[in-house]
Amino acid sequence: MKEYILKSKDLVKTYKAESQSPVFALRGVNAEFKKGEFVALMGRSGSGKSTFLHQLALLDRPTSGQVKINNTDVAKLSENERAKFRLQVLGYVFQDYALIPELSLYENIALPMMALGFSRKKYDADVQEIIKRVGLNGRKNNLPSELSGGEQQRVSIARAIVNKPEILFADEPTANLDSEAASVVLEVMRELVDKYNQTIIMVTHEPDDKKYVDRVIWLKDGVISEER
Amino acid sequence: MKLSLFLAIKTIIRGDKGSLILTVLIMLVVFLNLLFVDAIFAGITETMDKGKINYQYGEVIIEPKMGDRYIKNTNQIIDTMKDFYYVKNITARITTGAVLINDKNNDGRDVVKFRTGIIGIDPEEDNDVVDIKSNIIEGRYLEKNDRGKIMIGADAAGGYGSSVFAEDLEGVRSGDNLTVEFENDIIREFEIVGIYRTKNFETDSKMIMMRNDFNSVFSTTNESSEIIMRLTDKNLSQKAISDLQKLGFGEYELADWSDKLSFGRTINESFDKIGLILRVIGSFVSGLVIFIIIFVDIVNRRKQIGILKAIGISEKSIMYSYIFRGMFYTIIGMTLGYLIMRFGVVNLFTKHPIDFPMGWMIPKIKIESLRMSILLFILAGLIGSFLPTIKEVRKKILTLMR
Repeated sequence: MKEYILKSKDLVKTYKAESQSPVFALRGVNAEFKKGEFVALMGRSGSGKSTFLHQLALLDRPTSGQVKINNTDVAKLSENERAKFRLQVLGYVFQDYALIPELSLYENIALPMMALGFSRKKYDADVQEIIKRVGLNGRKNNLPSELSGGEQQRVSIARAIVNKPEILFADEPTANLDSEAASVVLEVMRELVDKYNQTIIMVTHEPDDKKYVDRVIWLKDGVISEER
Repeated sequence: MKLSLFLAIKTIIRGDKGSLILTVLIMLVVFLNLLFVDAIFAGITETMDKGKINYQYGEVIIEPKMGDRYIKNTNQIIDTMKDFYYVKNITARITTGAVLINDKNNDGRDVVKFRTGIIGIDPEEDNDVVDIKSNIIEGRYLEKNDRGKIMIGADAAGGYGSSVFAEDLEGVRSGDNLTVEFENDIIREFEIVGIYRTKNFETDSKMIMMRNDFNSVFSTTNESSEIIMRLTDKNLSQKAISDLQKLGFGEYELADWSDKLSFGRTINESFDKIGLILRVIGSFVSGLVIFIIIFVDIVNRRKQIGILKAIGISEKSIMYSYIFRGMFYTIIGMTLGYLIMRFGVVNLFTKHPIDFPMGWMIPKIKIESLRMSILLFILAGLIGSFLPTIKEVRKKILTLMR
């Protein structure tokens, strides 16, 4: 039986505009994620799926409730500790690839390793191997502007996994891609789960994406409405 | 730090070349402008200093104490001091006041009078100390056997361009005769053999005559009004004064060239103040330029900062990368500005000095001013890049990524 790597307990997130009553984006969400599991968070716009991902991924702080990653209560971490945690334990793939335009494909992927203080000697083999793994061999010196959307998203995945994160968070990674490029990206993610036991939590509203994931959590009005 | 430097270098190398060139160009112009104004001030100061040293006081001057008219033991002082290793040349001069009278038509009707100082010299000895000879603009320099001959400064002669004095002799020329009414009421006529212009207005308003002629008017022999020393290095002037005191010549006024900069010192002080104000303004402008450049850039890259923060790059690393960029623009701008100033502007004006009322001026880069300008620019660059960056990197990740 697989162990739980990530848990949320009574997670609440409210947004409050001045002199207005608070708007609940999450209304006490409880969820658990196992190691090596590929989970999709789905729901209509405004359902709270992205907000939920942001709380789990340490990109935002919940109003109340708990997020535990490997039994660490991440809400108690300082900003600096959260930055280190994001760098060492988590990986991110964003909808619009979020690559640094002035860095080559290789440099974009190597960025987290550099931030961890590794020398090129130490990370070069890993980066080369990951470039191969995402199918971009021979293009390591290309700038993001010289790559297609699908290729850029694969670079983004490569960057997210280069430091071997415990959990990979993906926020609508295929939203900007055509169906062919989206399939390639999702296949790469599926392969990470199958071959390398990678945990992936992905926000999507593409019904077709369901076939690549192990489990779907549906959110509605800030609460989990269904899990399959 | 390594990551910040890496990000800064890549952004500079692969970023927009046009804005890079423009930013460096602005920094260059601001720094060059500051250096130029500073160099002009330093050049003027040096020209005035040189004027005082070369045409009036040498590096060290010995004068009688207030109330005394002459230095009595002139020869003893000269004989003692000329053997010191740092003394290049030494001469004695004798001075007095007089009224110069220019009878324009030699008929006593159109007479111009000009009250000024008169200097009695031994032309050969004086020429080794005070450089009048190379500044003769009409006629010739006095010679050893001349009698009844004089040289006169262009400001006293009149008609040789602008002058700081409202009055002059209204245009006497080499070859003209001039009547001189001395302080002891003796009146004599002299022939002008040369007109000189050193651009040191105190020298150019005087008349120079032969020492022998002076002695015959005032019945003087070994007396002098000033002993002027030229040294191998002007920085040894205080040592020379100290030696003179040790040798028992402390009974006289012992001064170095800088003690004589009463008017010049006021100007120098004013220049220093103006220079400081300009440096502060220049640094403020450069800091503002960096602030605007980094601010505009950072606003356009807000999302990128959010991404960097999201993937775990520390706020410090992001901030340093922008500060490095600000410093790059500042340092490259300063370096290019300095090189253009040093090898372009200064070389150009060395070949073609600027004609200033107090002399031919060559802009001069003063190390202390340069050091302070660099320091202020770097500080401004640091502040200019730090302020907009700190504000942005501290924002929440989702705010930045929106």
